[in-house]
Amino acid sequence: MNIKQKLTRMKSHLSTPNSQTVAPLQPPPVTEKQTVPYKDAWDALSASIHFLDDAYMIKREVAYPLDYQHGNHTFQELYDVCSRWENETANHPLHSCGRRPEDFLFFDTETTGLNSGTGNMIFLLGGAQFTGENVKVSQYFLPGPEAEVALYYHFLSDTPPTHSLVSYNGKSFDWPQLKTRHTLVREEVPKLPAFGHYDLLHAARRLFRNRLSSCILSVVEKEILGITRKDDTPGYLAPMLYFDFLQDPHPDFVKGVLTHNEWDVLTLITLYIDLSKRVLQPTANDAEMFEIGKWYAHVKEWEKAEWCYEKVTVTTTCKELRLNSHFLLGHVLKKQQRIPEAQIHFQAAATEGSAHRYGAIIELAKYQEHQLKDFEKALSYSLTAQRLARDAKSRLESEKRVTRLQKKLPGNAN
Amino acid sequence: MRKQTLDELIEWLRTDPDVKERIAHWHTLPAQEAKTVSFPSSLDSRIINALEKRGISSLYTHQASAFEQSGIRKENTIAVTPTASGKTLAYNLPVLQSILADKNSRALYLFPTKALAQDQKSEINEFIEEMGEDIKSFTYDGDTSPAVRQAIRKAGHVVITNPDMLHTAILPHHTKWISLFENLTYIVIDELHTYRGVFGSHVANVIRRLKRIAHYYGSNPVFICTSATIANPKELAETLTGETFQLIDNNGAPRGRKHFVFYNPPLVHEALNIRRGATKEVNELASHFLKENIQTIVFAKSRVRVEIILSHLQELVQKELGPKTIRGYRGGYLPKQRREIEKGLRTGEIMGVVSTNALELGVDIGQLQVCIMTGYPGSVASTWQQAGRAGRRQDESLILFVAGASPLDQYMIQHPDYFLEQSPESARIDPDNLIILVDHLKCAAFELPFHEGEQFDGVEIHDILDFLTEEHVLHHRGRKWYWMNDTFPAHGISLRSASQENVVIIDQTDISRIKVIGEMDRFSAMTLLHEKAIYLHEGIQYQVETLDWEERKAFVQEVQVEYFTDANLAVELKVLEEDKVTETPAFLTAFGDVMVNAKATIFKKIKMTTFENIGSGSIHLPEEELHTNACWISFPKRVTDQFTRDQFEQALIGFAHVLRHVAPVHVMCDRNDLHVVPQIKAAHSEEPTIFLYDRYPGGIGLASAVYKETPLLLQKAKQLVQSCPCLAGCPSCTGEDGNLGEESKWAVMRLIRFMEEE
Repeated sequence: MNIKQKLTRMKSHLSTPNSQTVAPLQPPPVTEKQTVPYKDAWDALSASIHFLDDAYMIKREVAYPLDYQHGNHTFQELYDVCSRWENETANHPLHSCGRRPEDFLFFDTETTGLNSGTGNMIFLLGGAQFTGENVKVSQYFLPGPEAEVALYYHFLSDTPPTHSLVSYNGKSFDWPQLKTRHTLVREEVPKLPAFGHYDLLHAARRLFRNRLSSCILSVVEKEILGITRKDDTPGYLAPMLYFDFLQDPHPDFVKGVLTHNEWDVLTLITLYIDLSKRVLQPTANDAEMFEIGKWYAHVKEWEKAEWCYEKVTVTTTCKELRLNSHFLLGHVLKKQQRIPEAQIHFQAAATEGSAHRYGAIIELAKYQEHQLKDFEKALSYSLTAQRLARDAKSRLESEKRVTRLQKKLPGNAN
Repeated sequence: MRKQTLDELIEWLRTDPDVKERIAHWHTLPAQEAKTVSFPSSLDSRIINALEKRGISSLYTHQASAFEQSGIRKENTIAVTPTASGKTLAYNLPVLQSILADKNSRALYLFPTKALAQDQKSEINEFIEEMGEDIKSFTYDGDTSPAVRQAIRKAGHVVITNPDMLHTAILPHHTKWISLFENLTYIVIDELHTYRGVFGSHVANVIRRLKRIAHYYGSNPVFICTSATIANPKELAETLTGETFQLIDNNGAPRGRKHFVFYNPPLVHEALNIRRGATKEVNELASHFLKENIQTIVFAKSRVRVEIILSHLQELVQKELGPKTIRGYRGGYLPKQRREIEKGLRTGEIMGVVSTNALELGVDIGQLQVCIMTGYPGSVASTWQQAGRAGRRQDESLILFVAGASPLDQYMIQHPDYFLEQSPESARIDPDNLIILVDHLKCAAFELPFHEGEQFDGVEIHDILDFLTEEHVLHHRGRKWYWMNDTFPAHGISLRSASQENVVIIDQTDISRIKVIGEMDRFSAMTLLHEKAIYLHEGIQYQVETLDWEERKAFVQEVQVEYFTDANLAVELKVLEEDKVTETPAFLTAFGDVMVNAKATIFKKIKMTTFENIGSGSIHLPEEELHTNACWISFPKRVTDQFTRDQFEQALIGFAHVLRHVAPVHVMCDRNDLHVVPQIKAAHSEEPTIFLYDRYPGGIGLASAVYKETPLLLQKAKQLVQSCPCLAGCPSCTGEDGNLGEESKWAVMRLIRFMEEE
C-alpha cells in the first residue's frame, strides 16, 4: 500500500480539520516577476501591485473627506478632540499627549486563524490615517504566503515609527501576532518600531460593560456609535475566504474582507472621538460618570476621580450608585490625606443596603482606632463588621481586629 | 508492645514453618561500595565549592564520565543508572559549567511528568543558591502563572518542562522563545525509558520538531539523557532523538543489601494446580509489615487491583494506624492528591502506599523499606524499577515478589534464574508510525513552512505534504508548503493516549458538590466506565450511572457493593494487506495491515471475596474501529487434520493464552497495548489463526517485533507450558478457567511440537 492510499484509509484516525468542498484549482505559479493574475479586477478595487525582488504584495488605498460622517461623528471632530486633550492637564489613558490627528494609525488585521501561534498568518494589515487633507485608508494585502517579506517591507517603510496605533483588542491579539510573523522575516525587513498603542477595547469595556450585552466592535457600533453596516462579511469567515482566494486568486473572494477591515478602521476613529468626548466633558448619565471616576482613580488622578464621584452622589437618584460613590469617594479622599472628610462618606456608605457596608464600617473602625484612639467606638464598629463578614478573608480580618481592640481596652483583659 | 524491626521480620520470613514453605527462592544482593573519582581539573571551581558545601568530595564514576563526555567533549550521552544514584549531577554539572562559562547559554530539561520537573527545579535551584550565582532556572508547565512566563522565555537559563508543554505551548510559539532557541546548548531528557510505545513515538516526533526549530535559530544542542536499566538504552536514545550517542553504564553509586524473595501462594487444589490468590497473600503480608510501622509499598498491575488491595489494607490495619496512613496512587488521581501522597511518604506520615506502575518513575518518595509486588510486573526492567523503591541508598531492604496464577508469574517462580540473569527488555518506539508522523508534520508546518526537498530529520515527507495539501491543511506555493488552516494543530493531538479525547469522570453523589475525580482514555472507558460498571477511586466504590459517549463524560455515584465488574470486548478482524509472510509446512506467520472492530458487549459482576460470577448485564456502546498493524499465525489443514475439532480448538485457544502472556514481555509493552485474538476461522483465509495486533492506530512496532521474533516466542511458550507443574493445563499455563477440557496442555504441546518440526 503506498502512503497516500494508507492515509486515505486511516482518515478517520487522522484529525484533519473540516475539509472544504472547493474544487482544488492549481494556483498559477508566482515565483518569477511576471503578470499578476486578475490585475484588472485589482485595479477596479483601487489596488496597486508592489514588488520586492521576485515577490509582490497588493496595496489598496481609499480616501475619505474630513467632513465624512461615520456614525454619530464626522472625522474632523478629531481635531477638536486633540486640542481639548491638550488643555487637559490630568493624565488619562486616552490622552493624546501632544499627538496631532496625523500621528495616529487606526489599525486592524485579518488573519488565517483565530488562535495565536506561529502558523497563524496575517494576510491583511489595514490602517486609517489623517493626511491633513483627508482620511486615507491603506490596506496591505498578502497575495500568497511567500510574499510576507514584501508585505512587511512595504507596510513598515510606509508607516512612520512615530505613529501611535489605535486598535480594538490589538494589545493582546493583533500586535503580538504581528510581532510573531515579523520575527520570521526580521532579517529582510525594517525593524519593528515601538509604536505607542491605544487599545480601545479596554476603554469601551470600562464605559459600556454594564450597558451592553457584549463589547465586541459590532455591538458598540450599533448601540453606541450609531453605525449600521450593510452586507458586512463577518470576521470569522475571513480565513475561509482567504483560503478560497489562494486556490483561485480572484479578488472577488476577499473583496468583502477588505471592506470589512476598511469599516473596522474607520469605526476606530469614530470610537476614539466618542470615548474622548465622554471623558473630556462628562455630560451623560450618572452611571457613566461613576465609571469615568473609577477610570481616573485607576490612573491615580484623585482630584478628577473625586470630582466625578462627588457629582454622582449629588445628582443620582439611584440609591445603589449613590452609596457606591460615597464609598469610593471616601477612599479617594483618604488617598489625598483628607481623612476626616472621608469619614462622612464612609458613614454614608455604611448604611443598611450598601454593597460596601462591611468595607465602610472597617474604615470607620480604623479611623476610630488609629486616628481618634477611641477604642470603644472602634470595637463597636468592628463587632458590627464581624457580623457582616461574609467570606473567609473578611471573617479572619474582622476577628483579628476585634481581638486586638479587646486587648487594648482597659478592664477587658481577654 | 514493642514494634518488630525489619531484621526481625526478615528472620520471621526465613524461619516460620508455614511461610518458609511458600518461599520458592531467596536471593540476596550484596551491598555495593561506592566507586568514586576526584573532581576533574576542568570542573569550574564555583561548582566544586558548592559540591563541597554539600559534603561531596568526589564524583561517582558515572557522573565523571558524563561530565567528561557531554561537558568537555560535547558528545550526546545516555547514562544508565538505578534510582537514587545521583544521576541529576550527570546532567547538572555539564549544564551549569556551560552557563558559568557563558551566561547566554541555555538548557532545556524534559521530564515525563510535572511532578518530576518540580522535584528537579528545587534540586537545581538549591545547588545554584549554594554557588551564589545569578543563574535562573524555572519550570514551565500548565501551572506557571502568566505573569512569570515572559521572564522565563527571555531570561530562563534552564527551562524545565515536559514533552506535552513543548508540544502545545513552546514550539508553536517559538518566536517568543528566541533567546532560548538561539542559545540552546543542552537538551536534557531524564527517565528516557518512559518514552516508549505510543508516547515515545509521539515524543520522538516532538524532538524532531524541536531540532528543526533549534536549527532554524542556528543552534545545535547536545543531548544528555538518563535512563533506568533497559536492554537498548543507546538504541532508544538514538531513535528518539535521531542523533548518535555515547553510552555511560559505569554506575558508581553505593547500594545497601537487598533481599529478593520469590513467594508462591499455597496450593488449594493440588490436581488443578490452583493456588490461593496473590491479592489475598499480599494483603496479609503487607499488613504484617505495616502493623510494625515498616514503610511498605505495594505494587499491583491494574487500577482495579490497586483499589481492591487498598480497601482491604485500610480495613485490616485501621485500628493500628488510622485510615489515612495507607494511600492509593495511580493514574487518574488528580495532581494535587498525588503531590500530597508523595509528600506524606517522604515525611513518613504515610506508612504504606498501594500503586500501579505510576510510582516506578523517579518521583521522589524517599526511601521505603519493603516492596511487595502483586504478580510479575510484566518486564524485567519494570521489576527492577519497582524493587528500587525499597532501600534506595544504604539500608537493608526487602523485596517480595508474590506470584499470581498467570503463566508468566508461575514461570518466573519456577525459574528465578530466568529473571535474575535475564537482561532487561528493549524499549521500542516507531517514530515513523504514519498517523503519529502526519500529526506532527502538521504541527511542524504550523511552526515553519517546509521547503521543497526538506526532510523531517531524515524522513522523506514529500508524499505526506502532498496529501495534506489535498486535504486543505497545507498550501503549496512557490517552493514551500505553508500551513493554511484556521485551527491550532497541537490542540487536537495528545501525546499520551491512543484515543484523542479522554473520558472525564464526574462524581455526582452530592448534588450540591459535583466534582471531577479523574479521567480515562476512550478505549479503556469502553470496558471500565460503561453504565453500571463499578469504578474504584481511592478505595471508594462508585457506580457509573450514565456514560455520555458523545460528550466523553461518565457520571458516577458512590455505592457500597460486594462485587466488581469485568467487561467483555468482542473483536472482529479483517486483513487489509499482507506485507510480509514466512511459511513453514506447519504454520504461516504474516505481518500486515488489519482493521479491527471492537465492541464492548456484556459485563459480569464478580464477588470480591470468592471471585464468583454473581450477575451480568449488557453494554450499549458504539463500535470502535481501528486500523493497525498485526502479526498473525495460521495453521493449514494438514496440521488441523491431526487433531479432532475440539482438540484443535483447545490447542488454539490455549496457545493464544500463552502468547498473550509471553509476547508483551518480549516486546516490552503493557498487556493492553498488544491484543491477542484466536479465531477458528479467520475471515481472510478461512484458516485457524491467532492475531496479535497493536492497539494504537497505525501500530507502533509491537506486532512487527512479534513477527521478527516468532521462533523465540515459540520457544518461550513451550518452556512455559512445559515447566508448569500441572497435569492437564491450568490457569497458569494454557487457560484461565477449568472449562477448557482436560487435554488442553497436551493439545498445546502437540501443536507447538508440530510447529517446531520444520
